[in-house]
Amino acid sequence: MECVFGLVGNGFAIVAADTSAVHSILVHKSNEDKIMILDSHKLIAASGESGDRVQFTEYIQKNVALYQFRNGIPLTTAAAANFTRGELATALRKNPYFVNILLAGYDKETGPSLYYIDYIATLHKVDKGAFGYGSYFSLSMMDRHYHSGMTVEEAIDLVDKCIMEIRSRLVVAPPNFVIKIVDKDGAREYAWRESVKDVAVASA
Amino acid sequence: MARYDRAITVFSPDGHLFQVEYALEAVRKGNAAVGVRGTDIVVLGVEKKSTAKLQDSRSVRKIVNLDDHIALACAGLKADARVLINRARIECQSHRLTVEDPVTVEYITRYIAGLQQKYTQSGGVRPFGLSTLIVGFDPYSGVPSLYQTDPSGTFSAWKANATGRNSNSIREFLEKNYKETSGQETIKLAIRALLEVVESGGKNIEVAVMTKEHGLRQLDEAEIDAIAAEIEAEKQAAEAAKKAPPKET
Repeated sequence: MECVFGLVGNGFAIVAADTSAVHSILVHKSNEDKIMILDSHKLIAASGESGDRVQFTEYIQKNVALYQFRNGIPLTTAAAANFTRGELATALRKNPYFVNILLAGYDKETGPSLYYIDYIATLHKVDKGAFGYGSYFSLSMMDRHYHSGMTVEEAIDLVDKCIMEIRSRLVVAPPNFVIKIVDKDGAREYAWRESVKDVAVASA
Repeated sequence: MARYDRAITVFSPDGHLFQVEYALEAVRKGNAAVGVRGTDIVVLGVEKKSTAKLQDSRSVRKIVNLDDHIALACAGLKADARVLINRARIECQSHRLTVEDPVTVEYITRYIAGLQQKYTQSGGVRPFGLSTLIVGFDPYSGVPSLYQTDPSGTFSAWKANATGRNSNSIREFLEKNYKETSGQETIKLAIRALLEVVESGGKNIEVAVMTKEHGLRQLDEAEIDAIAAEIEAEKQAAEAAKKAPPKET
């Protein structure tokens, strides 16, 4: 099942997501990037119905860009999170999106932040958060090892511990993960954790 | 004639749409705007009518970006411009959302022109009173472009053009002096053209430059002053050379 989790460290926020695209019993691909770079300093890690996931996060991304062109300055992470929640809430009683989101961002004035937004438009500002069956394991790991003001090395170590736990304890554990980080220098990919590579088919 | 200029939807007997022509008059009263296309750069320059002392000049931006790779300057009714620019910005993002590709300069020009044309064929509305100069780089080919639209909804591509006040004299100057340039030379040409009709000085013109790598960059007053000084010096040198021909024949 889809696993997404993230945490806030000292001057940065980190999110990790599994990279499997699954339909019933078939794994379509195992290198699907579910963490979208929303703008220069924001990341949106999403899990849920794959059509909704792409549709909704792209829609949010374009609206965030439009705000920036209209107003000359980018949205703050809090504003983007509230906007996202608002869109989910509006659609909820008509045509709900089945997407769970962890929105990580860095603002110059307020530093790094992480927002937990679930598919029924719950919004919480958190230090650590997770979605999916993997959350049973990653939240417990983070509860044990997390402290505020972690360095990047400590945070990556904790992320790896969570991934290890998910891989060993979840029955249909996703094999590969992608880790992305956002700090004062912007949002970027940090690393992949692959245990299964898509093998190229040898030509006949 | 008085009977045929009230409603936009009425042609005059000799085939004029007077409301559109009057809109073009409004454009002719607007501030001068010039655009020049170089090989690797596009430059937009706009006349800045004297700003009131108490006004915060930073809030009056005459050259705006529609997307990372497209910018627009206009002459005419600024309030109408706000509406068009807003619609264009939405269209730029909408295009990216539906086809996962940034707009080409021609696409967004066609869209803006189409919008302007729509308002020449409806009852109870008036045309947009502005002409726009749209510049940008095509997202994949990297080719720079300059387009112009007007209140009638026509558009075309240009190597260099001007609109607004005294646009005819600026265009004449450009026709005489245009050649394929790049980088700083293109900026100088645009400023020279604008200075034909505007009082010299960084505080009277707003200049912005777009390159493929860095997007839109507004030049600050000091930079414009420096280039204007360079131009002035070149002009003086040219005059001096004309008056005192070299001794060797």
